[in-house]
Amino acid sequence: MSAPATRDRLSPLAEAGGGSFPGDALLVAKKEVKESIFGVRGSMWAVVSALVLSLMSYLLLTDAELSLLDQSEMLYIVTSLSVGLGMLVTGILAGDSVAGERERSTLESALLSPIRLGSMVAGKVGAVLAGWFLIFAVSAPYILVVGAGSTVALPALIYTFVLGTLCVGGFAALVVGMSSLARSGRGVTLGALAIFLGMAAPTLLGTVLQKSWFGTVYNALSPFAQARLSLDSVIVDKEPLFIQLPHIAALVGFAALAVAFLAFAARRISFEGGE
Amino acid sequence: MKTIEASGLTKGYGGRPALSGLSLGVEEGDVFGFLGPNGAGKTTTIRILTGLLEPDSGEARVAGMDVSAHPRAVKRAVGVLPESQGYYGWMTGEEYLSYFADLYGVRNAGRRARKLLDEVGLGERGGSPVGGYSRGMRQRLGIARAMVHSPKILFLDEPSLGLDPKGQREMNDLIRRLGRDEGVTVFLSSHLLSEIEDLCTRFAIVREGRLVAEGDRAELEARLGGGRRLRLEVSDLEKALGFARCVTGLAGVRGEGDALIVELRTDEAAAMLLRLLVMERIEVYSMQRFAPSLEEIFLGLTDGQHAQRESGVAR
Repeated sequence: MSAPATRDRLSPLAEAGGGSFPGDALLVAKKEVKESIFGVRGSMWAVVSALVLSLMSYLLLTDAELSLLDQSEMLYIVTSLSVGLGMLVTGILAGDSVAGERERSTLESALLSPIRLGSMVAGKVGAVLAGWFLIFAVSAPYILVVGAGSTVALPALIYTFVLGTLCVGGFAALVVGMSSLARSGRGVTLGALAIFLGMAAPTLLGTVLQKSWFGTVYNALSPFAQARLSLDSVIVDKEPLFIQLPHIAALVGFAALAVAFLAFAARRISFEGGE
Repeated sequence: MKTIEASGLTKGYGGRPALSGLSLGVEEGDVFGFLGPNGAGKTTTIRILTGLLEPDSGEARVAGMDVSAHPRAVKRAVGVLPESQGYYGWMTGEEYLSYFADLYGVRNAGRRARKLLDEVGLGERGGSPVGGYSRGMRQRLGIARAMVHSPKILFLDEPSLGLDPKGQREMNDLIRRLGRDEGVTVFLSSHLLSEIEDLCTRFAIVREGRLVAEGDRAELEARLGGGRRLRLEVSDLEKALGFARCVTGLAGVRGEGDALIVELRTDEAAAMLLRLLVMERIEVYSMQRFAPSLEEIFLGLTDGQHAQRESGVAR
C-alpha cells in the first residue's frame, strides 16, 4: 500500500461537502434501486406479481362463475389487486430500508458521510416507490387485456397509477419512517404487513357490515379502502372525477401525514436505532 | 495547533456511564494513539468526535469546529474507519468507493476510486463484488473509503483488525506515511500496542471513560517511574530476589528468566542494590537499563490500583 496524496485531489465541490438535497437523494435512490429492484429481490417480486395477476386474470376470464362478472367489475378487481400488490411489495422493501442497513452495519458509514438525513430517507422512499412502478408496469398489460374492448381500460390504467402512487407513496413513507426508528428490519416488515392487512380488512367485511357505521369508519380510516372505493366508483359506476374528491383528499391527507411522520423519524435516525 | 479537542465529555447508555468527563487534545499532524481496555469508552469517544453521537455534556471541537453545532462540516473534514462496519456486498469495490466519493461530492469519483484501490492494494479486485472479499481486503477497502474525500483528519478504530502480519505492516506503513508525508492527523484506536508503539507520536490512555494519561512516550514512561528499570543477570536469582526486596527505593522486583528486573524510584537504590549483591557474593554478569514497553506502560496505568491513584488526573 502506498500513501495517497490526500490534499491536492480535494475538489472545490468536495470542500463544499456533498451534493444538493435532490442530488444526494438521487444517489441514494439509484443505489437502492440497483440493490432491491434490479437485483434478485426485484426480479422475484416481478415474477410473483405476474403469477398472481395471471392467475386472477385467467380465473376472471375462464371460471364459470367469475366470468359472469361484468367486464368493469373484472377490471376493478385487477386494478385493486395491482394496488394491493404494490403496497405489499413496497411495505417489505421499506421495512428493510433503514433498519436493515442498521442490522447489517452499513448505516454507520452512510451516517459518517455528510449526507443530510432528509436526503437519505427521500432517496430510500424514492427507491421503494420504484418498486411500485415495477409492480404497476407488470400489472399494466393485465389491466389492458382484461379491459380490452371497453372504454374504461385506459382511464382505469391511468387512474390506478394516480391513486396507487398516492396510496403506496404514503404507505412507503410511513414504513420507511418506522424503519428509521426501529432496530429490526424484520420487525418493521412484519409491522408493515400487519398495517397493510388492517387496511385491506374492510374488503373482507360483508355488505351489511360495510354499510354500517363500523364499516363506514373503517373505510374512512383505511387509505387502501379509499383507493378501492374510488376505483369502484370510476370503473364500475362510471361516476365523474369530482365525486372522487373526498377519496382523493383522504389519500392526500394520509400521504401528507405519512410524510410528516417520515420527517419526524428522519431527524432521529441514529446508527444504534430509535431514541 | 490543536485540531482535535475534547473537554469534559460525558456519555451514558441507560444509566451506565461510558465517558466520565474525558478531556484530550491532538495536535495537527500527530499520529495519536488512543488506548484503553475493552469498554473504556474509545469507540464512544470516536463517535462523538465524528458527529455520530451527541455527548450528554462537554464539548468536542474538530478542525476548529464545534462538532455538535456543525456535524456535517466536521464529517466533511474527517475520514473514519469504524470498528465494525458493514459493506454493500453486491457492489464491486470500485462501485462502493465511487458511491461514497459521490456522497462527498468528489469530482471524477470513478477515477478517484480506481486510484485509491491501487493505493490500498486492491486494484486487481476492484471489479469484484465486495461480498467475496476477505476480512483483510474489506479492512483495506474501509481505509480507502475513509480517505475517499482526502480528509485532513483520519479516525481509525482498530484498523489492523483482521489483517495478517504482512497486512498489518502495510497498514502501519500507510498510516505512517499519511502522518509524515501528507500531514494528515491520525487518531488511532488500537489494541495491538506493539503494532502502534513506534507508529504514534503521542498517546492517550483511557480507562472507564476517564483519561488516565496523555503525552508522548517519554511522558508516559515518566508516569510509571521514568524508565528507571534495570535488568541484571545474576548467578543466583532466588537469593538476589530476596535481597532486592529488602532494598528501599525500589518500586518493583521480579524475575524474568535468569534475570532480575527492578523498577527504581531513585538512582541511589540501584547503587544500594549493587553493593548488597556484591556483599552477599552474588555475581552480576550484566546490567542493563531499559524503558518499559508501551504494553507495560498501558498495563501499569490501567491496572486497578494505579488507575485509582491516578483517577481524576487528566494530564
